[in-house]
Amino acid sequence: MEFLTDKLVKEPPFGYTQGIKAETFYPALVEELCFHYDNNPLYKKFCDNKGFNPHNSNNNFPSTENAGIERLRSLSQIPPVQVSVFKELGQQLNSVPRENIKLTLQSSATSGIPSSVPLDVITSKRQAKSMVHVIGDYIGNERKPFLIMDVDPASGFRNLLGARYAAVSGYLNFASEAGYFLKIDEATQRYYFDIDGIKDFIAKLGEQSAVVFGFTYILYSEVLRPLSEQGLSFQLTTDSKIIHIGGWKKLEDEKISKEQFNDLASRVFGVKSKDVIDVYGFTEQMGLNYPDCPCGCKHTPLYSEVIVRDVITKEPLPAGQEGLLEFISPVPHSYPGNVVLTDDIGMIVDGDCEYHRGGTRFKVMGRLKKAEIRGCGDILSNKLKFAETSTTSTTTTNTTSTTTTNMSGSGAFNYYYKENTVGVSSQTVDTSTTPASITPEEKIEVIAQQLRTALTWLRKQSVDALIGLISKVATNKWCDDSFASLSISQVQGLKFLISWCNGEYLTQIANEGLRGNRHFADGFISVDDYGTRSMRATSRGLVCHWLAGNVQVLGMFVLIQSLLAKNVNLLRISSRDNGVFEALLRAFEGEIYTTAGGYTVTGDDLLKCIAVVSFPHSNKAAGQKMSLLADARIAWGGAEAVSAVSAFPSKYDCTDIILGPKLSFSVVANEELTDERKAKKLARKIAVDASVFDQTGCASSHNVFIEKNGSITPEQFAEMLGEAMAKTSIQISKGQMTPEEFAAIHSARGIYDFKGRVYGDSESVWTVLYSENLELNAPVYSRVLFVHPANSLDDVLPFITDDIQTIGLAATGYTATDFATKAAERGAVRFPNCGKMLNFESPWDGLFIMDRLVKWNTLGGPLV
Amino acid sequence: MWQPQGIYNEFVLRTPVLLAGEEAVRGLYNFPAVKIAVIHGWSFTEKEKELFLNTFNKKEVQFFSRSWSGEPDMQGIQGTVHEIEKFSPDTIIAIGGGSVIDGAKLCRLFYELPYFAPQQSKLSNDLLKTKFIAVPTTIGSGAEVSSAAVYIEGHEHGEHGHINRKEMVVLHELQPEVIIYDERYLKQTPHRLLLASAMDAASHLIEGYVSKMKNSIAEMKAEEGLRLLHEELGKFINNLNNRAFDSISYQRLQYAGHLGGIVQNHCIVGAAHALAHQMTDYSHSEAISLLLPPVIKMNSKDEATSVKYNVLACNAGFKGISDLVNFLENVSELAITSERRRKMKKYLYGKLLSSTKRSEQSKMTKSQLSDVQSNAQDVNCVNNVDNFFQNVKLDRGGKGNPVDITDDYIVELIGGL
Repeated sequence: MEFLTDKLVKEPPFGYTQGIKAETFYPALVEELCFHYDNNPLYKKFCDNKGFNPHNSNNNFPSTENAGIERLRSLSQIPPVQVSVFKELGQQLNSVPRENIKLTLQSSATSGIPSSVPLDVITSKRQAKSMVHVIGDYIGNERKPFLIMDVDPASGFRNLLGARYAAVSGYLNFASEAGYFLKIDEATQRYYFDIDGIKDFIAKLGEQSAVVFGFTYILYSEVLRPLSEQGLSFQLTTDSKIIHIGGWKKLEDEKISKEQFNDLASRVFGVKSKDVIDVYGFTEQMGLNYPDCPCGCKHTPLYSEVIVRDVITKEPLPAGQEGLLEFISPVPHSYPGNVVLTDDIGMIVDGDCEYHRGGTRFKVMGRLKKAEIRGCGDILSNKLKFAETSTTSTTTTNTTSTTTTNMSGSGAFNYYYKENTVGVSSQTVDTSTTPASITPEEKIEVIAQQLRTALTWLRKQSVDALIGLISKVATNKWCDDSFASLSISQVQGLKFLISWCNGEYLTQIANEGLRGNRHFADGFISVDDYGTRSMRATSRGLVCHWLAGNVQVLGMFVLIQSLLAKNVNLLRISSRDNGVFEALLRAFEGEIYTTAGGYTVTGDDLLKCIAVVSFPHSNKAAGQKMSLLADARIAWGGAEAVSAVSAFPSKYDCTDIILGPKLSFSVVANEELTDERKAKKLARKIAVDASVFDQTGCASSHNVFIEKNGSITPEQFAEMLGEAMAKTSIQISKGQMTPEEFAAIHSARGIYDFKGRVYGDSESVWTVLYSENLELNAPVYSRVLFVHPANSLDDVLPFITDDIQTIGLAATGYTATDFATKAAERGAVRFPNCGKMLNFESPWDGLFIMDRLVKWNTLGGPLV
Repeated sequence: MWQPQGIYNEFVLRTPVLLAGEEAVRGLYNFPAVKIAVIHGWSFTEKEKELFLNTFNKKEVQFFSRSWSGEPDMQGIQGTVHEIEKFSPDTIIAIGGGSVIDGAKLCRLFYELPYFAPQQSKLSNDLLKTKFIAVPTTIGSGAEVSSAAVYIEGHEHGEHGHINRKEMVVLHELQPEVIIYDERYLKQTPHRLLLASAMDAASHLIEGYVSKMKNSIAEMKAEEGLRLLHEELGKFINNLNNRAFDSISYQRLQYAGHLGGIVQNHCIVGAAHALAHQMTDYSHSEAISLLLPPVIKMNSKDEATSVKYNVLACNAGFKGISDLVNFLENVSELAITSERRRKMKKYLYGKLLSSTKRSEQSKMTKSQLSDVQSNAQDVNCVNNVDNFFQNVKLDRGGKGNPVDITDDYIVELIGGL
């Protein structure tokens, strides 16, 4: 059977009018969409979830040439499939029988997990035809010698080529002969450029025009940059071309612009700058290539169309506005990749092409960055069993990093502390401009000395007076929206921190942290029944904290405990802090607290016990200096961050507290789902756990496992969770989101439109994703909850490792103790009630923090 | 501190360790303490100090004479709290009467929790870590077993000036860990004061027994406590001479007071306390001595309450309710001089007159009104008026009265004094 698309791809790519496209492209598209709808249960589920039936859409497409806006609107009504769907479900997305699948394409996975695309013969042929037409239009249809800047697949190193192999093979259709000029040094397994080889190859070309082909980043890093640095260049014939594919992401990281690249490439190979052609394409619609036209834009051929959607609202955008690129093509037949929303940012460009190429003109501006990991979930450990192919948003990328050996580092060194003399010192030292004055390490040493002089004062203060002062500042100053422009609602977790700093609660924390009696920090207390043996807790001295970038106020929880244990503190805060931490500390300035007995403790004195510094990660010398000065080290953050701190040298008796990286989830026993009222109440509590700190805390819930066979089904509970998340979003306002975070949410929602159900609001404030699969999903953050049914609570146990910190547990009696015991033995440490997961308690993360920050002294005894 | 869910059952809280007998404080020799603060009243003698120093010769001890006079107030306790903060003890011993013990409870509370707001009715888990020991030198107040610490709070009432009112912090955590009953202290107490204190103890037992808050276990303690008072004070009432007084067992009186304290702590007391708490210019025990018998008479008008009084009286060895009232009136007569009694009555009449609306005055009998008016002129209390009725009705100490305390109730009670 021949489909309309098979005819379509026989047509020339650019010599069409909108009228022709309306008559050929749209019916072919609808035919393919209907085919998938009828033959692919997953796609049908997706369409049904989205309320879209392609069988009803044929008449919606405009048939006239002047229907630009109409066309845009009608195309945008087709629900797009997120590229993330191909990463998660690609293997299962075949719309044709499995035996018809000849090849499964995999992307190069520059953004983490590769996409999988199942291809049948029909699709492969269409791809090949489309490619030949489009690329031929740019480089001519006659075959040319190809100088391939990659490894020869026949060289025995094909494994190093990976997904690049398929792309290289596609272009060989245009090659009369091919030379491969990237070689592998067998000893070091590193690339090197075969200069002699290319010289020979070029010499043999004579007057033939040729094509230099390579992947953008490899071409730059292994060929253009090294050759340029060595002053080497070649001269190809004038109508030779350079074609490069693969994207700009890594070059953007190195701040190389397209103009710089083109200029360098044209100089090295002696071709015109306009003949350096960047070809855009993506695995999910392989075969559809979008080369740079000399007009400065790319063009959609007859076989595809492009629209641009707003990153946040996903509404279609008019020409000239940047957004996410969505490509629509009838070419994919074996999988429903006809309407694909990419992660790439671009815009449609109005106007005609001076080179008379038809088709919608557009530009690709770059790839939307992955949502920056803001939480504690960046676990490098392979112990966690995440859903096998997971969402992309939080997976660690294998980016190439440059090792810096510049021990003094670079960038600003900032600090805030109150000098032991008069006045507050808050300065910025830019080491790049004042290298000769004082180095960050020297400044850290000076600060540490100052802090140590304050230790004598601090040790004389009663714990209760310190609690009074902290509690007063939290209640009076931190609560005040006008204070230092610090709006409670804008600072994640501040509201909770304030309630945590309630005097009674701090007293309880201090009691629990110091073996039942906070007064151990004030002096010797009898510890036996005879009054012969007593004990006290003496502060360790200088505690150095490395705070995480996710939620700065989390660091305050430990700082306060360290102060109550009477330690002086040096904190390295993240540059992403935006002054929040300093503002919280500044609240102590000028504050006076008087006890009932008239004793006065001042905030200014307390500030002499705290110093805050910030410097880049690359400044290892500063980090090392802090580490060496510390009597106790506290590191927050992801695996990489805490590993870096652990690796710093330290005093032999320095004690370490590593907080993070950890993940947490919720577990609901069916006995808790006996009636709707109870279930709704529970849903509200879990919603709180997923809303406080916008899920960036180690103890934030991301996954909810519901035991089956309750009166309320897991799916019904997921719906209740949705309602609860909506209500909670009113009470706990959400922090500002980045476009990347929106994209991560859309991506996750896109996957669950296929595999389950999506509950969420239109503004992406909250999302509940339900599927029947029992799996642990990597966190997406931004209030995204995955809900999974489980036959029994024991089925959840395999997901528990040392990397799981908190499990919000809705269970009682034996069910609770049995699960908690088994989970504890697997590594989880906290099993609070749902709704209380983020309530910072003692012990935290398995340890009594204050206890670790003191040395225990004994007096008298022992009796035995 | 854990306490049972009271709505489900009747309960008695953890009882402190009791040490009794002469110089019982010596039993604290091995008490697990490092730094001990002894807060005492102004009559604390050097000899007593010696006893403490000998007992705690291996520990660090400091003595603090209370910084407040009479019943404690927030301002007054500040001096002692200051000293305590400086010393930073892990154990506080309060030795003295009810006001010393209550003041010491507050000192400990604010020393440990400087941010504590007196209106707070609950503390989260086990916050107080300083050990507390009470050595009562009087009987009757029940302060040593009570979860409450009574203090005086001044209130500004606009043109009516400054009014003192009794308030209380109620937290079970305020109870001491150890109570020491040393009868030597009672032997030094003037007879009249001892009798008034005994009346206070009796009021706790009786008002607690008939309280709206039913507690069968506390009721048994009340019967036992009243029986002890009856037996011991009866020795004197029936034979008014000093030798008879000397035959009284002070230890049994202390135990009766202890039981009264327990009953009061579990069953909120009644109208006698509600009124006495407004009489801040008079000693609490004297006010109670004046008010307890008429309150029993008033409440007995309610048949069910009358039956309950009767059961208590019989189980405590009285012939019945009249016998109990007679006994209490006799003790009251001996506990308060006629001059003090007259002044207290005038005070109450004055409050009544100045607080009573004309419509309510019209409900009085002619003789009541005449008495009230003539007495009120004497005491010139018109410029010192607060909302007396309201305060009596809202008094936390009187909430257990078996009969609702209404305006009419108050008018009739005071009118009948």
